[in-house]
Amino acid sequence: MRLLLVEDDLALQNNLKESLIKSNYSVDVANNGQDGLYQGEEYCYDAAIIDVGLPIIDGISLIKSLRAKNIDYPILILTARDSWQDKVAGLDAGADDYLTKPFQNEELLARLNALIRRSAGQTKPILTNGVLSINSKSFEVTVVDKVISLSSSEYKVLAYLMLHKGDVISKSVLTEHIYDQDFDLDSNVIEVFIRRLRKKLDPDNKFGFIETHRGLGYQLKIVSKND
Amino acid sequence: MIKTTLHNLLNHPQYNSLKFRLIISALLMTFIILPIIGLTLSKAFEQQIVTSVKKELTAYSYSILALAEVEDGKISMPEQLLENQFNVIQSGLYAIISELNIQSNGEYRQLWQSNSLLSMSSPTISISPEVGNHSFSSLTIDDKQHFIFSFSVSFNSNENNVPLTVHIIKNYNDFNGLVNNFEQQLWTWLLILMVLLFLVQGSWLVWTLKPLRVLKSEMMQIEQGKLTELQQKYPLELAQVTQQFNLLLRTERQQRKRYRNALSDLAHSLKTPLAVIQSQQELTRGSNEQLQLINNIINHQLKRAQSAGESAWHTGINVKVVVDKLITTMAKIYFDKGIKFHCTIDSQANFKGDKTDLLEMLGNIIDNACKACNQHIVISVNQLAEKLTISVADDGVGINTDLQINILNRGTRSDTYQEGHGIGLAIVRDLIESYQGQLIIGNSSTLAGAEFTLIFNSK
Repeated sequence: MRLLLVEDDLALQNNLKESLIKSNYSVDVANNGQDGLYQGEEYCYDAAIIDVGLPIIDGISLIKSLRAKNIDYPILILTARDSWQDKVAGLDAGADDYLTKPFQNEELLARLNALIRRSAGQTKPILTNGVLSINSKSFEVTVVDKVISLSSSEYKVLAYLMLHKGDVISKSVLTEHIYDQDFDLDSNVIEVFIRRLRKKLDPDNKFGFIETHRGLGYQLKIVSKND
Repeated sequence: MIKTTLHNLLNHPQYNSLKFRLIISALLMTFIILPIIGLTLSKAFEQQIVTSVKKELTAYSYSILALAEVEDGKISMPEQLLENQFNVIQSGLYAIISELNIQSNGEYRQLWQSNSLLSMSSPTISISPEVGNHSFSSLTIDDKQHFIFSFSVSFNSNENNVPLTVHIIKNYNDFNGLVNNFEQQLWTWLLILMVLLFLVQGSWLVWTLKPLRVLKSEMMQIEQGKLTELQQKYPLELAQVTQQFNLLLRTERQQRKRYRNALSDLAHSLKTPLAVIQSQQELTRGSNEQLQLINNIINHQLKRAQSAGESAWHTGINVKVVVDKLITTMAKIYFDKGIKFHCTIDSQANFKGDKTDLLEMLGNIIDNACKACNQHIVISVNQLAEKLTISVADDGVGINTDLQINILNRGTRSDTYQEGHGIGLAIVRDLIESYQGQLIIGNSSTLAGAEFTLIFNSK
C-alpha cells in the first residue's frame, strides 16, 4: 500500500514515516500543502494522511482541491484543533476520518487500515479468499490455517491483490502501489515477487491463487472456503 | 396629575411604544383640537351675528325717532311706517316708545307701539337707559326669545323736555336660522375633516413606523440566524444606529474569529510537539499517561476559552442544520458500525448562541452515543414556547449512576476526567452551564441505552 503523508513538522513526519514503513506501507512525504497537492494529483495512492495546519496551502483547502479533481482515495486528517467545528469542516471538505494530535501510533495505523479496507469494500480486518487469509493488523498470512512467512514486498503485493481480488492488476499498477517515489525499479521485479508468492502460498500448485493474464497483469481468483 | 398618569402609562411596557405615543397624539389632534376649533369658530360667528343685529336695530331706532313728533308732551306717529315689518302683525320686528320715567307700578308707561305688536301680549319692559344712552339685551315675549335695543332721547316741546325711550324688538328667528345653518355647515365639514385627518394620520403612522417594523423583523431574523446583519436601507434617523449595529456585529464576529484562530494556532503549536513525543516508540507507560494529561488540560482550557457562552449578543442558530452536519460526519467516522439515526427535529428550532459551541456540545453528545450504541440512535429536537430541548438516546448498555453523578457534580475538575464519556461530557457540561442550560443524564425509555437531554432557554 502506498501512502502520501503531508506534514510540515519534520520530526513528526520522520517518526510517522518510520512507523508506517514498519507496518508495510510505502510512504511519500510532502512538507507543505503545495507539494502535497502536486504529489496527491500525480501519483496513485491508497490513502493520504494530511495535517490540517500546513504552510502555503492549508490542509482543508488541499483536501478540497484533491476532491475537486475526482481523486477519491481515503484521506485521514491530523489536527491539533479538536473542536467539532474543525472536525466537521475537515470531513465536510472530503476527508474520511480524523485524528487529533497527539495520538498513539497504534491508533493511526488502525484508522488507516480501516480506511483502506473500507475504500476497497472490505469491513473486517482479516481478509479471506477461500483457504487464504491475511490479517491486515498483524500482517499474518495463513493458508489452510498454516502461517506463511513473507517478506515486506511480498506481503505488499499480496495485500494489494487481496484488497482487489477478482480484478486484473497490471504490473505497473502494482509497482506504483508498492513502491514510494524514491524507488526506480523495473516492473520486472514484480514478476519475481509473484513467482515467490506462488511458491510460498501454494508450493504444490493445488489452489492456483494467482493467475497471469498475458500482457494485462495478475488476478487473484475469487474462491469460496469450500473450494 | 395628567402628567403623572401619562408618565405611569408610558412606563407600562405595553404602552411604552412609539406607536402608542403617535396614536395618542393623533387622537388628541382629531378628537380634541378639531372640536375646540369648531366651538371657537361657532362662538365667533354668533358674536358677529349679534353685532350685526345690534347695528340693524340701532338703525331702526333712528328711523323711528326720525318719524316721531312730540306736541304738548304727546307723541304722534304716522299710521304706516316705512319699514313694512313694523306694519305687519307678528312680523317679528316691533317698535315701542315708552316714557323714560318709571311709574308707581314699577313699569314704564307705553306711549306708542307699532302695528306689528297688535294681538300680542304687551311685553313688560324694565329697561330704560339714561338719556343719550342705549342698551342691548334680550327679552321674552310669549315664551320666545327676542333681542331688544333701547335708546333714550329727550324731545323739546314747548320749552319742556320730554324724555322717552325707543325700544326696537326683534325675534331670534333670523338669528337662529343663520347660526343653525352655519353650525350645520361647520360641523359637517369638521366631521369630514376629522375623518380625512384620521385616515391621513393613520397612513402617516403606518408609513413613518414602517422602517421600525422592518428593523424589528430584521432583528428577529438575525436572532434566528436567518440573517447575519441588517440589510435594508433605513431612513437617515435610523441609518446611523443600524450602521453602527452592523459594525458591532461584524467586529464581534471578526474578533471572535481572530480569537479562535489564535487559540487554534496555540493548540496547533502545543500539540504538534506532543504528537512528536508520542510518536516516539520508546516511551514508557508513565510518560504516555502524563502526555495524555497535558493534552486533556490543553483541550479543556482552550475549549473553555473559546466558548462564547457569556457573550451578551447571540444570533440564532438553526439546530437542524447543525445536527444534519454532525450526522453526516458521524456516518463517515463510524462507517463500519452502520449506525441508523432516527431524527425528529423541529426545523424551526433555534439555538440562541454560538455555532461552534452548539457543534461542540452536540458533537460530543452524539459522538458518545455513536461509541456507546449498538446500531440505533434517536435524536429529537423540540422548541416549545421558550424552551429548546435536544435529546440524544442510544441503544447501548446505558450509563451508570456513579458516572452520572460524577459528571453532574459541579465540584469535580472536569479536566481530570478519564477517557470515554468523561472528557467530552465535561466540556459539554461547562458549555451548557455558560448558557444557563440544563443537562439531564438518564436512561432512554424507548432504547435500552443512555439518554442525554439538553435544555436551553430560547429567550
